[in-house]
Amino acid sequence: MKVLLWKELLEQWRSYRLLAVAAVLGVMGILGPLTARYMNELMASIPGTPEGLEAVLPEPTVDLAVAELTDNLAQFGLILALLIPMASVVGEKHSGTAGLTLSKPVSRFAFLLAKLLALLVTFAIGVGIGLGAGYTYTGMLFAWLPPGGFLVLGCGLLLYLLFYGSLSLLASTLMRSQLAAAGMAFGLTLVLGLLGTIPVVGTYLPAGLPGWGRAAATGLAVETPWKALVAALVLIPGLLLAGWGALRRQEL
Amino acid sequence: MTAIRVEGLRKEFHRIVALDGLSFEVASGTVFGFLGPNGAGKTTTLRILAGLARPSAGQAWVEGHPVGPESPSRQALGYLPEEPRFYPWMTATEFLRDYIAGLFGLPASKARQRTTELLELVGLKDVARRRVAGFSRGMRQRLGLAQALMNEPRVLLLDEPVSALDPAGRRDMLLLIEALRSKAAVLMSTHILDDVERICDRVGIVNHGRMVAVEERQALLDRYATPWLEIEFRSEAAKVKAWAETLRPVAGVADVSTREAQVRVRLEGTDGSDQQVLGLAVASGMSVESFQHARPTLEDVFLRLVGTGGEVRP
Repeated sequence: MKVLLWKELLEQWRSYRLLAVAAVLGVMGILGPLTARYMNELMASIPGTPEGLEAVLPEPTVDLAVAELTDNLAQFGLILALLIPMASVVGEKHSGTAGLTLSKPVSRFAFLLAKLLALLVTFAIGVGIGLGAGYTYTGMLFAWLPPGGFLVLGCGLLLYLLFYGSLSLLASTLMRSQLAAAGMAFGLTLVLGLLGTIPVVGTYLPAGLPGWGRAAATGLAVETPWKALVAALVLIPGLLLAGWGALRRQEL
Repeated sequence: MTAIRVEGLRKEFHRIVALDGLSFEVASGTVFGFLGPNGAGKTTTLRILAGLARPSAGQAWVEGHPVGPESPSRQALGYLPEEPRFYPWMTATEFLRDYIAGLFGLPASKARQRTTELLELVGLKDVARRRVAGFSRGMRQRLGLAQALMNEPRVLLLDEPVSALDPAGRRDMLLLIEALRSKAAVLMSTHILDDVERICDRVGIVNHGRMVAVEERQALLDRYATPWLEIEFRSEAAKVKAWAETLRPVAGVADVSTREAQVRVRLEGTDGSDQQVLGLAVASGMSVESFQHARPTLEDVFLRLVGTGGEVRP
């Protein structure tokens, strides 16, 4: 297991995936508070901006900065969480490296678990950098917020992204091509997005986790979304087990 | 002691039957040549033994353990696929020392020692720190063999192990496989009949997923090889050809072919018809340059059993 995890982490590093996640989330972390602070001035400076637009645009506040930061990290993080693991299993099955590895005395569960743990490490680093950058810029441009709230936001975002990463990993295990895996991962994400609009179902979906983190980061007293939290903590290992069940039956 | 046992193995891919009741055994300390035309089921058999595919029916054992995706038999197994693939971003040393040795749970000192030994053995010492992405097909096959030997396997499965190597590399690899005989049971699938003749103790010929012959190499040659005569004249090719045609009705002659002034005569048996053909050659009026019994080859056996169209000829 340790060897498989080492291989996955080295692959994340050498294939520049870790760098890409860190760079994208880092830039998005900076852009959140920056756009909140300067959007109005930027719009006003553009020639031909309709009169009265300034009145429509929200006032730059610390709440807006944290909201922008959260949205940026959640949206771009989601795309990365779907893209990064998309080829991790199906690609290895196609290239033959999965067969070479699994002809050795390692379990197929460990093979998948290593991939999930590497994803966790990659996104923990990415979210950490994004939030670190966002926290610093929010502090410099607006006000310094208690770091504890940002820690909650980080955990919420990480769980949310890991859930979609697990979904993509499952698609990569089930499908026979990267394209099909991509289609399945994006399709399921769309279905979950639609289901989330139904209030009764929405409370159980991990999509509520970034919002909870955002409220905590701005110091608002909000109720912990236990249903979404427990659902994410159950679904992530559940998706891993589903992938294992499928991989056990597959021929390599 | 039996290292590999295969019993009634059947494998269907949708409606295509790849293996149809295949059975054989490989004893420890022997090299077993697994021969067959393309699509005969050799690679499928090796993949089942390596735990990468499941049989539709039947069973196989490696060192007494039933094979399968999570089988403990993999601890004793070395497997070289036909086209071994690697992580292109790893160096050869990282792949062997840190990855493969780690998968077998070797301690760090042992992993280092085995990696040095194996890189030397397969001739990759000079490129040990180079990334695999830049390796040629032959270098990949050598690295593939090195990874298959990492755990000092008691059972070694080699799928076309010399197909990508140049003549010198092929010779080295065959010597290496031959040297492994005392340490492991080797099951080697190949198309190159010369290699099988050179190093295999036993030979199994598979066709359409069935074992059509499995025997000691020499016993197989004795049993199935057709007696051949090669006669070379010092004469014009046209005259030689005309004389060769007169042999066709002769009792005991199965087939006749000519090339320039050389005649090849396939006999139906060893019942004295060779003496009759010799007499006819001498009586032909042409000068006989040479007359010899051709050494039966595994190719003769293979072609007789499998046929050029893949049909079994009993």
